[in-house]
Amino acid sequence: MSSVGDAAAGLPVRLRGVSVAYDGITALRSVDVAVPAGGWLCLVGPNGAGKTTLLRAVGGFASVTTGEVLLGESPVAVLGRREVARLVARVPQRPEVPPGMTVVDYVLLGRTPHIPYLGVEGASDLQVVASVLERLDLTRLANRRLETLSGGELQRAIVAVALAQESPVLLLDEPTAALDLGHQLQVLELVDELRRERSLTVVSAMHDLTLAGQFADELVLLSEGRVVAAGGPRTVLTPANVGLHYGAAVRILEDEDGRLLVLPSRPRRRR
Amino acid sequence: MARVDVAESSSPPRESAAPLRPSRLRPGALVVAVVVLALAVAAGLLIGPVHLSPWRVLVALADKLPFVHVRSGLSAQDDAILWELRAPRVVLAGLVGATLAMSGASYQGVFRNPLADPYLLGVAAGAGLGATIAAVYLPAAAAGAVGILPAAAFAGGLVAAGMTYALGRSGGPARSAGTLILAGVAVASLFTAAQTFLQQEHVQTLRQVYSWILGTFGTASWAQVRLIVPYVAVSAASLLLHRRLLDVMGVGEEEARALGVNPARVRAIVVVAATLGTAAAVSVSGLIGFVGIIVPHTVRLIAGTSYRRILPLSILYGAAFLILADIVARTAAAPAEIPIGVITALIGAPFFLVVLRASSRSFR
Repeated sequence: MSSVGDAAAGLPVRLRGVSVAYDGITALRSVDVAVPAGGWLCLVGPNGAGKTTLLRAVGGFASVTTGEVLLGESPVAVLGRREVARLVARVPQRPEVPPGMTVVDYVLLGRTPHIPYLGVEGASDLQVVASVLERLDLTRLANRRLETLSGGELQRAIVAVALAQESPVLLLDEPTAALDLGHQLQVLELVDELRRERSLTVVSAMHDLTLAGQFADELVLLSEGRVVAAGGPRTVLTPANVGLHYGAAVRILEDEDGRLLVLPSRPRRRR
Repeated sequence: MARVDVAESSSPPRESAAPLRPSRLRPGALVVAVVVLALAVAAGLLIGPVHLSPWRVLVALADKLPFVHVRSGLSAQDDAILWELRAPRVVLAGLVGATLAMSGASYQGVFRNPLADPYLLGVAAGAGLGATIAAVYLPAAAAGAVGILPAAAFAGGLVAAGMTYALGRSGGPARSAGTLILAGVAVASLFTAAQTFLQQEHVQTLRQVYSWILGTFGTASWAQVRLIVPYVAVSAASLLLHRRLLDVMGVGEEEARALGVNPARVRAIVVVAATLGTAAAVSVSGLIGFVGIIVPHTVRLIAGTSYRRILPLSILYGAAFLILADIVARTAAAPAEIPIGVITALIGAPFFLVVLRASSRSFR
């Protein structure tokens, strides 16, 4: 099954003039975005800016009214669901967790795009699952039921499903929203390591601007469905941009490695 | 500081060599279920007002095997009791029980609703109405050897399933377990009322239909077995082929699509297949409730939540359950018969409450 989407090859993602409308409301307005193979693009912007919609468009879920989404050279609109599933895996924001399912069964679901429609998994699928579980330190939890996992363990299991898909593009929608700081860093470090190992193309939506700036190669700031700033962290994460589009006063600091820290800064009360 | 323990902790050797155990059907579980079914069949053949010697029955069964010719020593009368009364009744009850349990499990998977059941979704009532209409307006065809009854029941069942699904969806955005079942109850009431009305209008032609509402195997015959076997076989084969996809459906509509599955298509095929089996069952046995709740949930308790186990085991335990329930139906108040739907409801209604309580916690 070594098609376009061989994980080792890497796959660039491009959006050309993409507009998306739901129920007559325009959620994205002619957005141009390009992510090279193996790159990490982070979407930032206030609530309702269109981050999730953009991710859905890359996965072929949004009703694109104009423009096109390209996975490599193929427009996502002409690919079948199974083909898209082999190219794009997603870690949803709040997935439904099937009650009673074990971790290994759950991760095995990620192999669905590679298993014949009415067939069952083969030895190679189990191998992939075993290596993903090992990689995410889930092997010892393999036979546990999902509802017995802690928040961090469950999030790793959700990432594991997407990795078992072996798709060259990984979409992350607020992958760490439910996690404490330690687990946030743990999951993001893991994604970063996997991206380097497998040259995954990562597109994520994140609220935490500091984490976004520290992990992504490039940021896209969306506001009201438009791209209002794009480029490296220093270009996008400026007090002016954040002030204008989030309506929040922030200070941007630098740590000793030159990484940015975006800190809210409350205006003085007096006077 | 951000270098966290994920990478390192996978390197020290631990019990990672242990083989993965995904939820496939294990031979042991299958053997146990087959043994239980065999015991139920034996009980069904042996228990009754006339005592039959177990040994002679066993020999008589062996005699039916190809290339085996042995004399059972059963009298002609006993032989007739065995082969014309008890055996078809046991086989029919087994087929119907297997079908209802399998259909219930499939509806539960595809609607992601633990309370779904052919009876509670109104499918059985729709099938009953379809069969009644056929019996009233096409009596010649309905009595024919091929039998239009299952086909008419199938049409009625599909209409009911479609109505329940549409009503249940419009009821609320949350698609809660309760909404779909409320819709099913409303549809079932409507169809049962229509069926009763038709029966009242045609009392003379429809004697046998009347007993349907609570279900019975009192008139079981080999002709009925032959009538439903093709439908049940097609239904079971289609549903078993979808067992892994039913597990995929558990992650929800959009995630299933993200995994390359078309949930609308899977739902349509599974609903049609389960309704086909239900319709065939209803057309010979009438409305028997709760089998689709009792059996799959019991199987879940012992074998876990994967449909790769639930479906095959529900077929076997469903058959065993209804054979046993039928024994109770014909012996508890002998010589009178209790409608088997009464037995299943007596067990099923409390069971339903337990599932309802549990589902309001875990299923959402």
